Amino acid sequence: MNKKTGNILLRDALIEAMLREFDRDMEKCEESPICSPEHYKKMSEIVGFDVTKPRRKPRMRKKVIIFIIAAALALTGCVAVFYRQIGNFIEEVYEKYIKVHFVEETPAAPTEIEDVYTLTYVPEGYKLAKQSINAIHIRQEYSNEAKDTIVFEQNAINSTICILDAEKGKTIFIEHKNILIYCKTIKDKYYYLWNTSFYQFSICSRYSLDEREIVKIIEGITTK
Amino acid sequence: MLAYILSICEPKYHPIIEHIYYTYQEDMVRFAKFRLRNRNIPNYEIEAEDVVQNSFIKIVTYAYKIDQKSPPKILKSYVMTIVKNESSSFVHKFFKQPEAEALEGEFASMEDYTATLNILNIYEDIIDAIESLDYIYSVPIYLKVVMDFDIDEISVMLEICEKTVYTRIERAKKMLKQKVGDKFI
Repeated sequence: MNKKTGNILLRDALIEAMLREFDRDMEKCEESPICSPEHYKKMSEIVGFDVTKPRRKPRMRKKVIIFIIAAALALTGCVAVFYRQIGNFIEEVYEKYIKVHFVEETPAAPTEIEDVYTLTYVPEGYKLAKQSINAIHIRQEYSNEAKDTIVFEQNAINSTICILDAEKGKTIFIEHKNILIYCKTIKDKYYYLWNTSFYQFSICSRYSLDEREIVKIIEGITTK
Repeated sequence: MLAYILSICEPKYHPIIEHIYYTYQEDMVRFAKFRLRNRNIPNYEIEAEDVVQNSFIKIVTYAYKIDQKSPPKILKSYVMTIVKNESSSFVHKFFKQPEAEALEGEFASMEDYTATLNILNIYEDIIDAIESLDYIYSVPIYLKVVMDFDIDEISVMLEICEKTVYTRIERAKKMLKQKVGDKFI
């Protein structure tokens, strides 16, 4: 028995002992995990807002983004050429870009991501290369040996705004099993957007995915 | 509670703190309520909320100690150890129990101690011995051995002086050795 092994096993024994004590107590525990109204009131007083209500931080961020862009554009003389609504999507078409967001807020939707989705099908040769996850945005980048990439993103439905460079873009829609997929072709990029009640999803690739591929990818999306 | 916790936490630790909150907060509340109710603490449900809040403050304070790649088992044991310490410490203060006396003399290192153990044969005995320790001994030795806290960090975390930390770790070692020492080869 050497010192290093002894240290490792003592460490494991300490972890195991703490967990066993916790598990034993929890078997007998009938307590509710819900905190009292007094606790939430105290927390609200500390942080300065009602913690029991969904925090509209992403929405505020969206407003700030819109305001900053609008102000910058006002200075450059850019004004939305037109708005159009198709299904759940609203396009604000500007001279050199398009903003896409969803028609109406879903009050019951979470402001943060509760279910993390991932692709179970990607075109042949692609593998997950990078992933970043935070409370309101998930990004997964798949790439092949030729360094082509397919980027899958998930956002909370009420916190989403997509800005696309659309100088000479073309828009089509695909409908599949009551899902309306917004497809935008811009120069050498292809965007596919769709949504559920709670989340907005997008795929961006540098080459065109035919309709069957897109449908296969969407049908293969599942929670982790 | 999460909003408050994140407001006192450096942004780079938000992901791990959010993970701990969403994964363990309910169990932490239930665990704290259970421990305080068992010790007949009045208004134990309200006091347990403060215990969990204080636990999160400690976790956030030492967020840099958490290895985000460590297995869930280690993270869970660490989180529950903090709650155990906070709830037991609350009970301790509530009943105004005296602190353990400090020992005099030199203190042996952890390495000297573990080198004498034949742990392969007595792993379960060691677990049983650790479980029999009072929290004032098991928590400091846990923080030292598992989470690699320094003595001064343990001192701040547990709100006891450094000499008391040394005392309690040394006593923990002695008590463990008394329970499993006869089985050494």
